Amino acid sequence: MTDVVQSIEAPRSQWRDVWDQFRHHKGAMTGLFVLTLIVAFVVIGPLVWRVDGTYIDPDAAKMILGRNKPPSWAHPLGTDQVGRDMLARMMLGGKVSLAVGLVAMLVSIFIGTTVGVLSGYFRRMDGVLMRLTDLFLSLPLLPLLLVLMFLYGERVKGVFGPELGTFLLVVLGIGVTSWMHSARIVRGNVLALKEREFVLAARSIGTPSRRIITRHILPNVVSAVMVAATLGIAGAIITESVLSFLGLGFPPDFPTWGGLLNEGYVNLTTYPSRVIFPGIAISLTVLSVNYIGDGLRDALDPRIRGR
Amino acid sequence: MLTYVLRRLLIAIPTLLLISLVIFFLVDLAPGSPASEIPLTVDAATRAKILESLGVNAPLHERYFLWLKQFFWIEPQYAIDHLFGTDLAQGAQRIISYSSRSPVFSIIAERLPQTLTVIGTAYAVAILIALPIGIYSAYRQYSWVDQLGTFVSMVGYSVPTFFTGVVLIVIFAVKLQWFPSIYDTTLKITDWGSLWAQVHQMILPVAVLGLYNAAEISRYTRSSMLENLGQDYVRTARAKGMGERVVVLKHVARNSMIPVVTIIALGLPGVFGGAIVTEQVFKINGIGAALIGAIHANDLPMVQTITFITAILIVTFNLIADILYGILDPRIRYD
Repeated sequence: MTDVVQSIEAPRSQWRDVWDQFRHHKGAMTGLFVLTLIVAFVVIGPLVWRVDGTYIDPDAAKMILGRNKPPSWAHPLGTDQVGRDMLARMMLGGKVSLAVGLVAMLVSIFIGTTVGVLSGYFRRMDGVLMRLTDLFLSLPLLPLLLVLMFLYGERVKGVFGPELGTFLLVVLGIGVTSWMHSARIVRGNVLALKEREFVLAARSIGTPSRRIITRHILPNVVSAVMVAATLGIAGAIITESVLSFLGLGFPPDFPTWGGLLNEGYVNLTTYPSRVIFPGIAISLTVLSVNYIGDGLRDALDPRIRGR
Repeated sequence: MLTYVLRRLLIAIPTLLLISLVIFFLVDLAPGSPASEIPLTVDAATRAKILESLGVNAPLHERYFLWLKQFFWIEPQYAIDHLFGTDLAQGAQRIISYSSRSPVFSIIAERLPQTLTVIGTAYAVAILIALPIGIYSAYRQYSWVDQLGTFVSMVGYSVPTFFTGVVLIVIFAVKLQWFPSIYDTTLKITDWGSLWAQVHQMILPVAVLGLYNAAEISRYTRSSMLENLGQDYVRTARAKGMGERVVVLKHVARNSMIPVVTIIALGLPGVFGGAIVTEQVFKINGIGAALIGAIHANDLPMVQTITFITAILIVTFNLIADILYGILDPRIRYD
């Protein structure tokens, strides 16, 4: 008898298992490392590199002399068409791009989870909400997003100011046009969870639906949502940079990586580096986020985990 | 199956109507008005006349129904007239662009061939590249070909098309000067020389769009192949003594193609979205460029029509994907 007692290991939490599996995914760990570097560059960078990325020399002659400089010690990534420091602008732009990606993902996940849980849990709403999801999936999203940005941009900027207004518009626009996949994933999970014994037990002791959802259903869809959320960040960053690249994103004095790329694109043939740096930043971020998503998906899949 | 197709077709109609409603109202209710495009020097009376002639004073619902009628009834008549020389339309009012004052559909008909040549070629190239890579890298999982293939497809999938386009332009058009960086849409193919010029200028945009789509398709092919390679019927086929070529290409690849085919069909409308960016990078005067131009010029009928055409494409290809799925996989029955 005593042998049996001793052979029982300490219980391991699910997240510990997930992390152990995640650690063995080489791509995901590299992605996590690169993403940490990028976040550090954007967040800690401005504390070290104390040059104002929006500063234009008021002396016109000096400004013209300082334009389009190649990389040097004073400006490690060179200067742009009005003599602003590119390194500082990359940091500024990265902050905005990453913030847009994160917040847009949160919006999209919030809508997706709400729709998914409601349509999976309440049969009455299922038909309507799933038709709505199908409708959104059939909308031409990029053209509509462009229309939204251009036609409603001025109005929103007037109400909230140019920076906050564009930020809200971009974030809401991307969020509202990208929640459908997570809604479907959540719905599928909720439909399966609803039939499980612990939900039945909760219901049999008279737990109201609201509390069943918050206590029993939501914690169990977290893992599925996490993968969708990670991939959602990558998608949102790309969409934002596409908008900025097409000139329909943030105003020029409010740089994002996509916006910097758009500015540099005009002088592509003479100063290619101004396009290459922001492009590499976007690509590296999205690539590492996608790898992290891949690793998470493997780690959260119980069929693969523990092999 | 037939009832299913019919039912899906019938569902598609209200979906399309709803989408047209969303698109029309979203664009029409925007704060920017066509009046803002008229120069301020024009006096009030003339301005009112211009607005009257644009037909923007009618109530919203009237304009919506007029637009629907023009889109689904009058424009097809013009198309038939144009093709067969009949006179069905009898000079009915067409959808007119605000900025160029010419029918929207003739502008679209002018622009569409440029987009279709580039997109069509790119998608075909993508499929031709993606399938062999996906199949081979699944068959030799974790080999160096697979490692390289998955890495390249991850990169191709993550790097935005405008950046790949820019990099290719910098390397091949600016540094090496092998290809032109700007697409010449006025080029007419008359002889071998101009055909070569056309192929020459298409290489970069096709490479950009092709790489992106190939990445996505090969990822799906690989994972679908992997799922099937572990199935019992594969072991049975091998146990019967069939050659590897037959097992992989006939048994496994055929079954794995089912989800891939639907992904290919579903991805096609999305390529139009990607084309907006690619056209901007290479300055191709296609449908995406027309949309961007119309958005900037507040040309509402143009924006509404192009967006709605894209929506129709999406709904159609969704339908095609669903039906193909049913035809390819006999286990799926829609009764």
